This record gives sequence, structure tokens and C-alpha cells, in this order.
Amino acid sequence: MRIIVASDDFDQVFQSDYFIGRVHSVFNNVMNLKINDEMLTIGNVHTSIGPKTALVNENINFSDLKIQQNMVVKKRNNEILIEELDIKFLYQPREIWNSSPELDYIKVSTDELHYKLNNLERIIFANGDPDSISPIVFDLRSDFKWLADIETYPTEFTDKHMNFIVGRIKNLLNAVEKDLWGDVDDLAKSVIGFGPGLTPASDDFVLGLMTGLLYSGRNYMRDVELYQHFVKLINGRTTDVSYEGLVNASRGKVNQVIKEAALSILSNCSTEVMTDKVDKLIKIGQTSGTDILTGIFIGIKLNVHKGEF
Amino acid sequence: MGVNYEIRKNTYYDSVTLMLISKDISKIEGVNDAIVGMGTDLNKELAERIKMSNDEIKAIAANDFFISADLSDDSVWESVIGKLNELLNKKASENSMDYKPKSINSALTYQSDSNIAIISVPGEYAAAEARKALDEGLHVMLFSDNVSIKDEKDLKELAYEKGLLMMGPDCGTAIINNVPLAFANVVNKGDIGIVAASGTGTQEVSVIIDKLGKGVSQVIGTGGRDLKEEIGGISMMQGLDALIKDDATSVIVLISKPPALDISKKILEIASKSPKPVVVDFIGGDYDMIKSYGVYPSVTLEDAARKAVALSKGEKPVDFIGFSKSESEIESMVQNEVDRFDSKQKYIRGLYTGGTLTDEAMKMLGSDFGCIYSNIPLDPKCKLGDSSKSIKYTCIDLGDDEFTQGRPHPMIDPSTRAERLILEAEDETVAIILMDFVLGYGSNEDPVGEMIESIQFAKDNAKKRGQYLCVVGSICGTDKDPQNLIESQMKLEENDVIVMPSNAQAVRFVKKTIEKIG
Repeated sequence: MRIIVASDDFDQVFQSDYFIGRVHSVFNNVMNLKINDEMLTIGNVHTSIGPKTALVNENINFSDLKIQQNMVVKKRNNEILIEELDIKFLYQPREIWNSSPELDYIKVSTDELHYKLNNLERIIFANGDPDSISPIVFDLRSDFKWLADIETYPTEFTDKHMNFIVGRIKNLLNAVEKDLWGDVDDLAKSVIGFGPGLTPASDDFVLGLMTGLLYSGRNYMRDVELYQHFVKLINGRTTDVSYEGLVNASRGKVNQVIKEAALSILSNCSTEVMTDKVDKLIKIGQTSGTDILTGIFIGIKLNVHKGEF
Repeated sequence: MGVNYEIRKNTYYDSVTLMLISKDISKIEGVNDAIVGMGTDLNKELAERIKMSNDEIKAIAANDFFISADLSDDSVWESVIGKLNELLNKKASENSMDYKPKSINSALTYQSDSNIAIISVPGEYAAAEARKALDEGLHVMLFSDNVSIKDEKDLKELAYEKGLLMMGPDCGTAIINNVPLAFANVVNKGDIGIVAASGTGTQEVSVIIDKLGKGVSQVIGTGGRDLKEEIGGISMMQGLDALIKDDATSVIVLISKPPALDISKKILEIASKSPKPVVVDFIGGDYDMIKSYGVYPSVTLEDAARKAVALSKGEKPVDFIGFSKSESEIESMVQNEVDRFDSKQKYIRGLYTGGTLTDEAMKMLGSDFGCIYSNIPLDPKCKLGDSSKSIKYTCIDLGDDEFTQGRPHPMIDPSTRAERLILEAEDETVAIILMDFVLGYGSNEDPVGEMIESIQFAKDNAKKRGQYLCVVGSICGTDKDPQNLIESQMKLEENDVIVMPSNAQAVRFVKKTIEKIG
């Protein structure tokens, strides 16, 4: 198997003289490796590139390769090797993907942004997964003036689950809206790790929220500082896989599908292109895509409301 | 009852699997509530809040998987663990039998090799769902109605651009690769392909083909508006083209109400160039005009089926305008009925569940009786002012929108027709009730049995006032359908219903009888 695309931060790890690590987790389309305390991902052709990720050129199912958790992974010459199974990934990337956030896009006009956000709301309404956190967030429209005009749809969460989380999300959004950053620390901790998924629904929402705020805001450096502080506080409160995603997102580094969706909303591209990009995002995982997109939507709405777009 | 739980340390499952586990475990009988997930602080706190935690669960870490359940009986736990293991051991693609996806995207996640989507959602959402399916490269059968003409046109153009079939909106019948979809009968596989803008019309033709010992290759529905000028017959032309190219098809049948003239010419132009024989039933269409294109026009749905079968056998097709029984037998049956009416009785009441069968009946009864009143009349001046009240010669399509708003189609729930039959039978001028009984997938599990009580009641009421009520019907079904064809026919005959082999023969019989009454 040959690795044909790698992100710059994956490449940086690979280019070190030597590394040894272990298999962290294995799924059909991806395999996560834990190397020098960093989580790296190798994905198949169905996976989109993202931070610390490399893609092979084959439609392989990693679960079928009998790769087990904790198997040793090494670098040998230009290969990543799982010695126990004699599985080799030849590292020959034809493309090194830039994982940095793209913030030098031409911003869409405010009127056009409103139009796009209305469309986005409809897309989430029509195509979003009802098992996601999205209906709970949209149901907060009576609590926030800037959400007053949105529609909501029925949630699949039980009352017990919903009652548990809804107040926490409301408090988080209230703190972000009012720049109560001291409170955000505690509130974020009270939100992270809710939901059955490997990347819990609330984590995906927060990942999207940070992305929406960072990409649409005016003060990247300040925001990154705040978010990096925030993710330090949630270490150990969620799964490794989800935490890694949040750490990357706190610096504006997200999967290409998420990046393209955010840019398609905020930049001067057509609604058709936006619909296409957003549709690709919504398809990620079971509810992850909907949760992330809801976070992006809320992040942008918040910045528009605060006059920071 | 204590907390039942399972912990799997440092174990990861993808989100799709976890969501499926969460949903399926909650559905097990005896499970009052369940929490499934990774041991994050919040999930543990939630478990505690809803009283499904214990010391072991409190001690797990974020990368540990856990399930905790509140059960009405501890013995249910074995089923929970069994289900959990079953789901975890299955590959995602194998889960599709248990999994009812909520969206096309989820469905494709589970069954990525699907190539057709059947869509049945309220009309206002239907176009968006169909567009999603087409964008995913799926052929579409859109069962929903109430889709705007513009959306229909856009969807069909999109499908055409992508080389996909867009069947519908309002497409109720198709058989693709021998799989009946929606309202369809179980028929033999064969070499006759059908493209149709009609539901029950298609069922009637495919059933008769089956009864005559042949079978169908594909049945492609187009939706009832496809041949209107605004749509342009896009689906019928695509379907026709597909069947021309299909190696398994040697004879093609086209079925529709008479199309707009320009569309009719376009379709016939393509049909005329087909290397395979094409039988056309544009119900009530111009026979000579159709014939002038070198295709085979038919006079009824049964005739279309018979011609297709003849062509499939390499025989010369001829018009079928008679009966399966001999002329003398039919004459004797007619006379027997006529002798039982009194002088007041002279009218027909057609109570149909199928729209195309209603059309066919009205077309065949023709203008000899003046107006054939209907809720879907052939001539606008014969439209019933109030569809709930019949006048003289009336044929009602009880499957039309006005009768199905807020209640199931009469092919599914025969109660509307049962009530209507009793009402019609109270009219002393009525001589004959004409009915269809449609079997097959989608239909009521016993459409005949459901009507028997009201047939008996109607006949008894007529008898009490010294009259005889004649009921004539035809069964659109095969001996392979989920309902029992033979039993259905016996039930009707035991209750003094005259059962004819096709709708066309039933109408012909009724017409002869009424003519004989004079």
C-alpha cells in the first residue's frame, strides 16, 4: 500500500529520523496511530485529508487487515511498518496538504451571508440527522435573539438526555456571546463528552463552533489563544480521538471537508457550491457532520450578532 | 433491580455502530432506559443522573466503552448483551437488515451498492429527497404525489442528464429485475417490457401476461403526468430507450392515458424506430394514428397484454374484443341476469379502486348511454357535482385524491368502497355494480374478503325490496400474489358475484347486459 497524500503535520512526524508507536484504534476506513504522544491517522480512498492524516491509494478496509489495537508501528526507511503482520505503507506522497487555516479568503457581503445562512439553516433542517444535537441547539431560539428567526425540528434524544444537556449548551452560548471567557472554561468542561459516539455529539458541536468563530471572526490570534487554553482544560474528559480533533480545531486546523464547508459559507462563492460542500460535511459519520455544521452555523451567527464578522 | 452494565476497556467503535447499538438496545422489550457510549465525564454524569451508574462505571475512563440499562426484569440483560455482541460483530454493511435509516445518506452508508431509491414522503418534501437520491447516482421511484409540475420537470431533466430513471412522482407500480415495487403483482419473469404512466393499468397488463403463460422483463413506471405537455414524456422516452437496449426484452408495451398530441408523436416516432415490436395502449387514444407509426395499437389493457404475448411467441397479434368464454355461454349468462331485474333497474355503478381501470370502463361503455358520470370523467360535462352521489350511469375512482385525503387508498383499506356499495345498492334504479379487486404487494391482505360482508348486505337489501342486484367484478392478481387468488375468486362466486377474467371482459359483459335491458 502506498501513501499518496499526507498533511504537512503528518509529514513532519514522518520526516523525523525514527519513530515508534502503537495502533490506537482501527475502523473500516481509517486507522489511528499513537506516535510520540501524537495521534496520526491513515485513511483509505473514502477518507478526506485532514490534520495529521495520510491517505493510501487503495480501497482497503483496515478492519479486514486484522490490525489490532496496540500493535507496534515503526518507521523503516520510507515505510510505515506493522511488523507483526508484515503490513507496509510505502510513504511516497505526491501531495503534501497544508493543514493551516485559510483565512485570506474574500468575505461575502453581509446581505449575501444572511441569505446563505438562511439556506444553511434549511439544509440542516432538511438533511440533518435528528439524532444529532442540532435540534436541541436550534430549540434555544427563544433564549437568544440572534436565533429567534430559525426553525427547529424534533429531537431523537429522550427528555432525560435533553434536559441534561440543553441548559449547559445555553450557558455556553451565553458566555461566548457575552465574552465571559472565565466562565467559558467551566462551561466547556460541562459540555464536552456528551453523546454515544466516538466523537461525542457535544464535542463535534464545539469543534464546529470554534471553526465558525475562528473563520468568521476578526481576531484570529486572540481566539486561538483562548481556544488553546480551553482545550487544555478538557484533556481527559473525552475520547483520545475526539480530543485530538478539538486540539487541532483550536488552532483552526480541521479536515478539508470542514474547511471547505466553512469557506463556502463565508467566502464569495455561489450558494450552489456552498450546498455541495455542506452536503459533503453533513455526510461525515452518523451525526458528526450535522453536529459540526450546526456548530459552524452558530459560530458564524454569533460573530454576525456581535458585529465581529 | 440493580444497574445492569457492561464495560469494555480501551475499546473503540465507530459512531455509526454506537448509535445503532443505542437505538436497538432501547427497543428490546423489558429495557426501560439505556445509556450507551464512551466513558467521558459527561456520559458518566448523565448515567448517574438517570440512576444508571455504579462504582464500576464511575471508575471508567473516556476511552472505555460502556452500556448501562434499566430493566424491568434482570433476565432481559442476557438479551441486551446478546444484541450488543451481535451488532458489534456485524460488519456495517450487514447491519442494513435491522437498520432503518432516516435519510438517504444514512441508507447509503449502510448499503453503498444500492442503485435505486423508493421515496414515499409527504409531497412537500418529496422533490428534495428525490433530488438527493439522483445526486447520489440512484434511480428513483417517487411514490409521493403533490409534487409541482416544475419540480417534476426539473427532476426528470436532472435524471436524464445523469442517465438515471426518474419514475414518478405518483408512481405506484414498477417491477425491476423481477422485484415488485410498491403496488405490484408477483408475475413470471419473461421477455415483455412495460413502460407505463398508469398504476393499475400496468398491473392489469402484467397480470394478464402472466396468466397467458409469459412474463415481464422490466416494468418501468413514469408517473401519471409524464406525458403531459409540460413534462414532455421524458421518463417514457427514457424507459422506452432502456427497454430497446435491454437484451432481456423482446417486446415492449407502452401504457398511458392519451398523451398530448405532440408528445404522443414524439413517443410514437421513437417506438417506430424500435427494432423490437411495440404495443401501445393509449387508453382511448387514436387507434389509426398509432397504427400509422408501424406499432401495434390495442383496444383494451387485456388486448395489449394479449398482443404482447402473441408477439413474444412469434405469432401475429389480432384485436381481442370478445370473451374467454364462448359467445353462447356469455349470452346465456347475460339473459340470466336480465331476467332477474325489475323494470326500474337500468343503471350501472362502477366502484373502482384503480384509476386506469375506471378510465378503461368509461371508455368501453362509450357514449351509447349518454354521459358516464364520474369524479374523473372522460368528458368534463359528465363530472359529478358531488362525488359522493352517483347519477344514472356512474363510474367512480375511489382511489382519486378527493377520497384518499386523510385516509388510506381503497386498495389498502376497502372501507370507503364498502360504505359506498351499500349506498349505491339503496338506489332502486341500479341494476349492476361493477368492481375491481386488485391483489399483489401493497394491497390489502384480503381485498375480496373485506368486501364480502357489504356485498351480501347490499344484495340482501335489494332482495328485501323485491329486487336483484347484480355484482360483476374482475380480479387483478396472480396465483403467486401474497393474497390467495383462487380463494378470492371462490369467495366472490359463492356470494353470487360474476367474476370475469379481466376488467375489459367485465365491462363488456356489463355493457351487453344493460343493452339487453334496453
